[in-house]
Amino acid sequence: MNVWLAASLVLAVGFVPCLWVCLRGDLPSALAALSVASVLTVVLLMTLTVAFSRPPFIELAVVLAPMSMIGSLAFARFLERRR
Amino acid sequence: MSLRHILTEVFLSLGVTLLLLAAVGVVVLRDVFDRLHLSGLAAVGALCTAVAIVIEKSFSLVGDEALLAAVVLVVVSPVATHAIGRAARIADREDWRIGDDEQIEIEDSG
Repeated sequence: MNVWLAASLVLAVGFVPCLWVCLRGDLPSALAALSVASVLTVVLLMTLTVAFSRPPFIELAVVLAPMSMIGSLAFARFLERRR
Repeated sequence: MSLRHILTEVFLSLGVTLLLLAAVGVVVLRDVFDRLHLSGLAAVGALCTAVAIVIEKSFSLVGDEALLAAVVLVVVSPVATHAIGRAARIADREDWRIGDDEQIEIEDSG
């Protein structure tokens, strides 16, 4: 087990608090937790790419980084209209 | 163990620590506006991890694109933070601006 795989495992633990807030918190807090979780996902994809030495898979992280922001903006727009 | 490996592990552990702190902070802090601070912290953690990858792999396919993804995150996460905060204000009280019934308290430390 190399350093990168260990880092990936530690990062995967970080999803637990984000998931907890997404399920139990109020709606804006869940959105904030979702944005932290998306950053965690991008970094997890980067470290897994290095851990298994599959260079092309880094594209997944590159694509997810802007996509997560677009998703957050869409959710925020729906949150404004909810009332 | 070369200097390169040591630097890689330093930056990697720094990045992972920042990301874990951000994840723990999501559960520890109570308000939306407190929790919104953490996505910026997580983006800095992503930047540290990308720097670790660049040190390990130099500017190759993996290194370049990891740095690109991290820089995109750092540039873009304030936008998402602003949008979420604004939406939370609007969902709470119709308008994001300071209302007549609110006042900003400034603590005078002097």
